[in-house]
Amino acid sequence: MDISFWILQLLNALQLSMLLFLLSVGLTVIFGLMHFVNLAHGALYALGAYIAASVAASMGYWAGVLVAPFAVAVLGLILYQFLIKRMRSSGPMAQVLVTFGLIFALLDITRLIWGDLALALDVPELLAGRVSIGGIEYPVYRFFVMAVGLVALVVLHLMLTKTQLGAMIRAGVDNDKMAACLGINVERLFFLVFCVGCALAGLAGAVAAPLLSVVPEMGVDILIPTLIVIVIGGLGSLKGAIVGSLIYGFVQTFGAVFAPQLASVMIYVLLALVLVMRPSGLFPAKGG
Amino acid sequence: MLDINELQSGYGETQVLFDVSLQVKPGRVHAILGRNGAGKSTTLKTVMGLLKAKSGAVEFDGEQISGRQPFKVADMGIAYVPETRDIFPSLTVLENLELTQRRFQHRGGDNGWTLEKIYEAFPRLKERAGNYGDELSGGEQQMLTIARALLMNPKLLILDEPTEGLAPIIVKQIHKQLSVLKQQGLTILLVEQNFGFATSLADDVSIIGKGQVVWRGSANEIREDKATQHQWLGV
Ligand SMILES: Nc1ncnc2c1ncn2[C@@H]1O[C@H](COP(=O)(O)OP(=O)(O)OP(=O)(O)O)[C@@H](O)[C@H]1O
Ligand SMILES: [Mg+2]
Repeated sequence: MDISFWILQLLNALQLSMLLFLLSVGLTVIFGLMHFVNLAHGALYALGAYIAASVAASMGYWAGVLVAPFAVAVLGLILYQFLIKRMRSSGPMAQVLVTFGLIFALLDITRLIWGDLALALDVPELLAGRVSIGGIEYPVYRFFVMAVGLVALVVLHLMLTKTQLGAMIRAGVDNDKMAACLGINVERLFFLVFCVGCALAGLAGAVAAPLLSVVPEMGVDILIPTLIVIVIGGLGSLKGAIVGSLIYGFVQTFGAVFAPQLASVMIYVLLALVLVMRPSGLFPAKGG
Repeated sequence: MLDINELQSGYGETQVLFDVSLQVKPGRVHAILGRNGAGKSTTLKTVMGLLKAKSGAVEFDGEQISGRQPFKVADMGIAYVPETRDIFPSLTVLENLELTQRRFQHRGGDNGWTLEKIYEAFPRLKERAGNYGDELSGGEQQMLTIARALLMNPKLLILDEPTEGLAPIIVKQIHKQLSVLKQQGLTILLVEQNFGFATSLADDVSIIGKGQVVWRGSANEIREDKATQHQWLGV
């Protein structure tokens, strides 16, 4: 195992982390603000992949990647208006059950529209090929996935820390009642954040699509890793989402190298350790 | 300015307010006194729309506000300083202030509150501008909640036990600030356990006992009325 092997693993870990970040950041901020777990977040990711693949088939990759987040955000908007808004005052158990049910509803809708066969989305010409780095050849497209995650991280960070809207969102996560008493329409903030979170899930699905085969179950498969990321990272914070994603990506990738037979349980052991030592995760939002 | 009429309210099944009626008149300071658990904070939370009234009415500036969401109540010109202070820990002092300053600046006109005026009135906040909400002392937090409320350039300022747990010197500063606000003609609704603090600021006083207004009168009257003090305040 020479240095190039480790570079390869490092890049794989980073790429997995960035994909998970795109998914977990929306889910965690939605939770922080609304105390609402949307278990169907993974299903939105799958829909993003399907929409991207379908659009790309006739109009090319870039159209697919642009349309998917918007389409998923519109779906989020519909879900919010007709379902989630009405459930805001019901307890966590009801919310978990309804969004859990939503997973299967969306899964079946996906099957009805696209069938059971896997779709494929080709890497666009611009991002095809490989670059050599540290003695290995690494696909350009995987760098692109990392870059998308990194850009999302930077943009979201600036938005949250430097703008008035970001301050309002942080205030709402800290204490939604007090934020409302200062004249902030917290419900409208929720709605906005929910739609952005859905768009990011759609974007994640779209950029992930060329890396895997697009099947209906992909949304269910990604849900558990995403939930682990936000529980390790701590609910409600951007920092938690990125740190949790990196931890998951690295433990998963390097775990498979060092102890292949333990790889699948290692992340759960880590999850348990974090929960024992810091029950609210590593970097939870400050309010409560 | 604020008319509370036969208000009944509570938490879920538990009713706390049975009959609260009181009028806050424009330009006056109205104090609500009462023992622990009498329902003072519950009254304020119901006015703000944080709790839903079971019955009764709240009118502000001639408009019915009961049943409105808190952000709409705030938007009408009511600023609220809760007893838990509720500074946002993830926001710096400056961000806490800007949260209201940026959205309500236009309400103040030429004589309205600005960041500069706030820093003049509370110099400590200027020194702490870059600190996060959870890095402040109790007194600094209290000044920040009051400052944040004033930057809404409200018509009515509601304060819930602003002196609770604070050192005497800070209580004095807050007293001075509130006296200035009173002189400037701001309408204030003040809940207090500190009898001396409340009666030296207030014009009118209502006493709540067991979820009802049991006494109303002027601050001078209650200062003289030892029997009522003894019965309802345990002073
Ligand atoms: N969140 C809550 N849920 C249920 N009951 C509550 C809640 N908050 C307060 N109460 C009850 O309502 C009653 C009135 O409480 P409230 O906070 O209005 O009293 P208060 O007059 O403000 O007292 P204090 O001077 O101690 O602040 C008390 O009996 C209290 O136990
Ligand atoms: Mg109280």
